[in-house]
Amino acid sequence: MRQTGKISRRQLIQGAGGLGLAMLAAACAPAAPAAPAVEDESATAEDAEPAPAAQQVLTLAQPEPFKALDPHTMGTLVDLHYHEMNFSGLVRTDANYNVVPELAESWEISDDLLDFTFHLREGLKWSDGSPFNAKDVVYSLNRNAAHEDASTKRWLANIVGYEAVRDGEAEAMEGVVIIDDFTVAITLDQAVDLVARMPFAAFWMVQQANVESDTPDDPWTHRAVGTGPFMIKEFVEGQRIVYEPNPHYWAGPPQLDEVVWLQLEDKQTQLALYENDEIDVVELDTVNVPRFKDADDPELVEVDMIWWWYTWKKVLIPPMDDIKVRQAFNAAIDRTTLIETVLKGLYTEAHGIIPTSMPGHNPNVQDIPFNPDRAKQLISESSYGDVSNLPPIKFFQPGWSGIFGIAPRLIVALQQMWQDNLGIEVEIKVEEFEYESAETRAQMGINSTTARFPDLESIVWEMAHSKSLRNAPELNRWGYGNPEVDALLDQARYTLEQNEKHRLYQEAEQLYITDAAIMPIMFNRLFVLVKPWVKNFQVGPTGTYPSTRDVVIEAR
Amino acid sequence: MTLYLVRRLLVFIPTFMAITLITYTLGFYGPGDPVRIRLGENWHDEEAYLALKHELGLDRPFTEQFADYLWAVLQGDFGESIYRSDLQVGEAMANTLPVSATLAFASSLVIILVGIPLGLIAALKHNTWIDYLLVSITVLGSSIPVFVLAPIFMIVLVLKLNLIDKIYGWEGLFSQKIIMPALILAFGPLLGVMRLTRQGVLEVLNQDYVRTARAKGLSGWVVAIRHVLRNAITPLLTNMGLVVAFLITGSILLESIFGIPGFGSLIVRSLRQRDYPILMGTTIIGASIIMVANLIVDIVYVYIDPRVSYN
Amino acid sequence: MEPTPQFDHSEKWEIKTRSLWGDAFRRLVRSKTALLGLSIFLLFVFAAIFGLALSPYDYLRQDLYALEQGPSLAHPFGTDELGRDFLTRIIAGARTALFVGVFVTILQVGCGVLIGATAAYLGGWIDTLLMWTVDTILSFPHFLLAVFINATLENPIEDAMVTLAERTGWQWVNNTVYIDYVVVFGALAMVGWGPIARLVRGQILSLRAQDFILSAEATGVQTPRIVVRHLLPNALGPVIVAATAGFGSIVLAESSLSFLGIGIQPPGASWGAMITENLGVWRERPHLVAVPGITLSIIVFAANFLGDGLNDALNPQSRH
Repeated sequence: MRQTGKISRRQLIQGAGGLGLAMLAAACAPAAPAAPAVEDESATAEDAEPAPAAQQVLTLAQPEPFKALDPHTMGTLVDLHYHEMNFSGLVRTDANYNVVPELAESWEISDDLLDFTFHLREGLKWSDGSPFNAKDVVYSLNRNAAHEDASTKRWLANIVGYEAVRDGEAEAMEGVVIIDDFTVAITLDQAVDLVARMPFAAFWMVQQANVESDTPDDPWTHRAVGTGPFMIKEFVEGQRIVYEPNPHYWAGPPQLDEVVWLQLEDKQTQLALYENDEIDVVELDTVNVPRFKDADDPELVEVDMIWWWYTWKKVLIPPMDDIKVRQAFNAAIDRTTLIETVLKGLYTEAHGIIPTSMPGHNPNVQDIPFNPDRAKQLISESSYGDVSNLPPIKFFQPGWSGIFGIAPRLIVALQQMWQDNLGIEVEIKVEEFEYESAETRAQMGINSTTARFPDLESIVWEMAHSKSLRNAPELNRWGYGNPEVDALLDQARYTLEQNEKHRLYQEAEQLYITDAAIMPIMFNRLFVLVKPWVKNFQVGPTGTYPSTRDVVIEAR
Repeated sequence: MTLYLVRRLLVFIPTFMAITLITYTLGFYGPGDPVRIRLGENWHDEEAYLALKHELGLDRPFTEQFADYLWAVLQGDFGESIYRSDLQVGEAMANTLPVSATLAFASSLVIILVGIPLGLIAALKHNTWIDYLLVSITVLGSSIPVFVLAPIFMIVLVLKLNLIDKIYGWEGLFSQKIIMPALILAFGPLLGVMRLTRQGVLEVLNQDYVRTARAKGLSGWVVAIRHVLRNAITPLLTNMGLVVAFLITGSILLESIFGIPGFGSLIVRSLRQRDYPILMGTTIIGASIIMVANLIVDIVYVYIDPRVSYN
Repeated sequence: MEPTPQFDHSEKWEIKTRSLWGDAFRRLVRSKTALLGLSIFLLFVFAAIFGLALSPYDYLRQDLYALEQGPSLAHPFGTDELGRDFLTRIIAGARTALFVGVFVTILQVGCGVLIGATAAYLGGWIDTLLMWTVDTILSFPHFLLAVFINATLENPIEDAMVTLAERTGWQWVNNTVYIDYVVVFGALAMVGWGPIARLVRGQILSLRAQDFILSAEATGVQTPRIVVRHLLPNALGPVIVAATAGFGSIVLAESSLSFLGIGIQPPGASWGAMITENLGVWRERPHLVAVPGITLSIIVFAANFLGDGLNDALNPQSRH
């Protein structure tokens, strides 16, 4: 009885609302200038809504705003979500982070590990139907090497002739050669695991005619031609990007009729839309996870990420130039409590930087243990002698951490621990990452990083090597450098035997952690709700959805 | 009167230029160096820095750059987003403004269709409990900001009463989702409109010709509609600019709560990304909207209230 | 040596003023709504000044083993996501609101009176220019401009503070918390002085036409003296009314800026920021959103009531 009453009241209100608006609309329709556009939208939205199994539509919402749809200018992690829809490379990673063939059917590596020969599949086509062959591979790699944006192309380094193209001294890299229409040879100047790097977007294919048709008012990325499983059907700025199957995809077009990506990054809004069956997948904000986890919700999927959280320090700027001070800051933080309480016990405590789900993870890495007395002692042993001699400490909080994200409260909790255990008042400075002066002002900050490709090079080398962009002192970044670590990392980078490589990287990781340039906090885990009618959906270890091409929607 | 309108339009021009100047100056001297931001990881490279600065025309005097910006703005070109290289500021605004306009339109309907009748009722029931109740609600209600109203409406209507379930997102004018944001956005101005109507009607009710009409035995409602409403509408119109300003402010605070892809969401997102070209564009457009609203008010005023002279 | 007539006028006016204020006060406390507004306002001021000293908790003190507790005797409003006593946070928010409200009101009234009086007294093209500036600033959507100024001023102000700290050695200047306040003060004051300036100008222009000023002018009293001794005291009533009503909107604007994440930064306490921080759990713990929201609304409403009451008390002829 009560139930019916509730429903009828709700229906009444809905009806009244609808009726009221319909009446208003009837009265004012000719006067409303925005009406056509709006009707258009609601029509599409209604089309998407009933979605029986006959209509294969997957609706997703972006976790944060994207920055660039060009695979060679990756800005944020969410960009990869979009890139993997309509672009692809010679190889890719599957949901378990294994390298598998994509456009290249097979490849050979010479004995000196410097020459790679890739054999393309035959009959490959771009999404516009034009043939794809070896010269497109060469164009794409050279285009990225010459690209004004440095964010992805540095992974092309070690290909012979890369520097010349990067510096504008040559048009094409000598090390990338067409053997025939379906064969490309790549030559390196030093042995690195190129195939492991190649699933990264830096190596993905773009079409010359398409890229060159770019104008500011009509960017090519909004109508990109690619080799990925989908292609852009509709681009509505600020609202959504709709993808449709690429009919020329080498493995045959995907079953889905449409993938709709809503540009709506607010996690609370997304959750509400998910609960109304308006989107099919949602990534949960930490604060909302317990509601579903405690109820053992069958729609909840947990995935361990190759994604690590840490606080960094600028080791060239006082007082972080003193290893004792750095170690004191680490020893003052009680991570176990932090994760149990503020993070609700949802994540794995990190002692190193190689995540648990990454081959090569070292469970025995020794970090600076939590010990307030030791922390104080370390300060008194340092060249500063006492906390009163330390300059003011500023802590950088990236603006992207969002208003509902976990980072702000994590930082405030860290701040309290430094205050309690060291008596140091750390000031928090919220800034956008791109904003250089922010990093100038702060001596430490928080960050989270995912692996770019399935190789420890993208984790340990990237974090700890003095030549890494993260440490380049002239960039005023972290400035870490330890010759011993560099030697180990360079050796590991050019070692292809996996066990030996892991051992070298682990040794470097241990030294890096002891130097306390960073303090590992946790390894991230994604909590994702997936509707039961979405089949074959998987979240990859870096948070992307690599199996979207295989998704099938079942009847509800 | 034509002279008045021409003069009024002419004042518009320097004011618009001043608005652009204020915004541009703040955007020019305020935030970090756009050249360094564009250089990204190469920002320390002095040679590249100077080259790019020259290429972007940022090494010229301020006045020259401002003139360029103003000229571009007049042609609808607000430059490029810093955060996303494939996004023109003008395009971003053109895509979000219709959404906000639709929401504002729905809110205005609520304001007019609810606010004016309530004001009329309060005036006709002057000094009864209905009047007191309505007046106290206006005073109490106008103190509540939209970002407080939104969660309160959500807690009451969704959590406690279970009246509406689809509150987030945007599907245009003809959907259930617009109800909640439109109501919340309308709430503050609605109370203001009600108060103004009440005041206007009360003033007119005391005029001789209305008294005569009432004495003749015409019922209160007929009088109200025939004579009163037309005169009471004038103060409403003069305050239209305020209502528009309120709707803009409200949309900044409200749209991101409900996931509405409008002008307000664009502002909040750009704020988080420190995307100054977009913030400059939205500030100029927001000010222009209010100026145009005030201009329309002034023009309509001439037709509605013949007592006003313009010399 | 100053002419005698001026003293006569002044003394006469002093007496009149005193009785005017006395009357006003009597009228104010007689109005029930104004009294209610005044009481809430005084309570708010008391809580803001002494509340933190009276609370057994520190508003920054975290207790990671007492996170997100519901209301209890020990914590009447429960604890927040970092185990801080929520009532104490609310009181700290009151202190922020009072601090910002008072400072910005002083800045706005100061600028407004100065500019309004200058415009009225100097007249001519200066008057035209100043009033046109006021019109221009008023044509900005206030809040949008405040948001924009807040976003752009942050870095220059921080640079200035850092330089100041280096030059003078006052390290306390170089502190993010103060910088947040200064940025919020600046942004809100810059958008809000216009109406006061316009009001003061109007008052002075109408007062200048009155006999006692005309006679003072005629006897050669210097302009600044007339402004300070005669015009400003008489324009004060409406300015107080406007400032009181404006106080509410300043508190509101500060909370709105913090709600957007650009006002007072964590771990500082602002009601707007508290709403943002807890909006993610409005289903699970609605009180964390409702309490700061309702508190904020009550303060704004009290300021409005008080403003209305003052208006009635100081301008009795304006009442219907």
